[in-house]
Amino acid sequence: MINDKLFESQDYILTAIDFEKDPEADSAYSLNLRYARYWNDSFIKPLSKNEFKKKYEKIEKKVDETRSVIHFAIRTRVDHLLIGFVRIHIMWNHAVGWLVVSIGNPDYYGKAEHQIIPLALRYAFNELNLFRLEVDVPTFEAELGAILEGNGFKLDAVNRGVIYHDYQYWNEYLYGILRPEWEALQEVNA
Amino acid sequence: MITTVYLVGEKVKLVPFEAERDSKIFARWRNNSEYLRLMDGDIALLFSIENIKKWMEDNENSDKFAFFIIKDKAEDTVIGEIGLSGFQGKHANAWVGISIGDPQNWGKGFGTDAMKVILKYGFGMLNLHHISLTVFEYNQRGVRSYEKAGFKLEGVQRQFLQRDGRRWDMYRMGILKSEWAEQTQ
Repeated sequence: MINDKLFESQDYILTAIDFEKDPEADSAYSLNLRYARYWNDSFIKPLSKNEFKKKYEKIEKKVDETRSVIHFAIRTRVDHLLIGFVRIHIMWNHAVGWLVVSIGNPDYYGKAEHQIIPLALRYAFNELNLFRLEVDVPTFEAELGAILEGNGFKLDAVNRGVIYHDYQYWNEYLYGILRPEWEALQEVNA
Repeated sequence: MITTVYLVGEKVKLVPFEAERDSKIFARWRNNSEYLRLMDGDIALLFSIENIKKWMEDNENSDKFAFFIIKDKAEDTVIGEIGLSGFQGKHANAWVGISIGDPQNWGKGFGTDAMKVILKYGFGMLNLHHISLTVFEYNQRGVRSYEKAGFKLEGVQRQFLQRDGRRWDMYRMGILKSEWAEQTQ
């Protein structure tokens, strides 16, 4: 039987962007510059509702036209509250994905990732058929690093001082997991 | 005392792109699939001179990149390209990419010298804190060149590439401004 639960975990669901409601929540979350970092390419700054709409349009267009990135909103299962997003950039010719999971709602930060990371892994390996998935984690996001390691990721590289945040330079950890490593863990857990 | 000489090394100098001239040269280099496969992880593709020229023109005046043509200083000929991109937080980190076009110019120290020139530019003029690059497992000539320029191995993206029926590692290398300052003192 094929798995029909790609978009749900015990407490969370992955959905499309809601252009009506999400801009307000995301704009409020982006006042926390830790979250805003994941929506800005160069200067880290909060974004207006309209700026979020433009970001959404841009990413949906890219998903639709190129399939080189996938993007889902993360919501609570109970009341469909937006709490963050999951995104995978894909290099198809090498079957490599670069995963970003960012939780904007502080009540769920460091918690939702426990369920979202396994969901993203299953999507990456069973739906996208990737061979390798990787995640960049600034060292001030230590909780995320621990969750990744708990899900079978290995620390592949330490990029020294590449992130500037809150008056200091931070290392960035590059975590990676290969398909056979993930598959072996599924057998252990089965 | 301020340094006035930038963008010039012992063997090379870095100059701006000239779309009309360089699009033809790039199109010629790209006919060599080995060149393409050493340069990046993209699919080996061939583009028309017009397409390359348009790409160059579209990126003129862009502050997203700092790309240069590498010229052989003695001969004043175009031998490669080098550039910084992917600026993170404007001044924390940037990515460097480089290629020397004709295989006859490989292994002669042009790349190492160009890399030193752009490191000086990135740290001395752009105030970068760190510069990153990736290089493939099968490009040991590249690895040696980057080590000579001062880069350190920061990790291995295990089995990142799929080429010729097998997986290959990709190395992550980087250099801090403090390391650059130390080696150039």
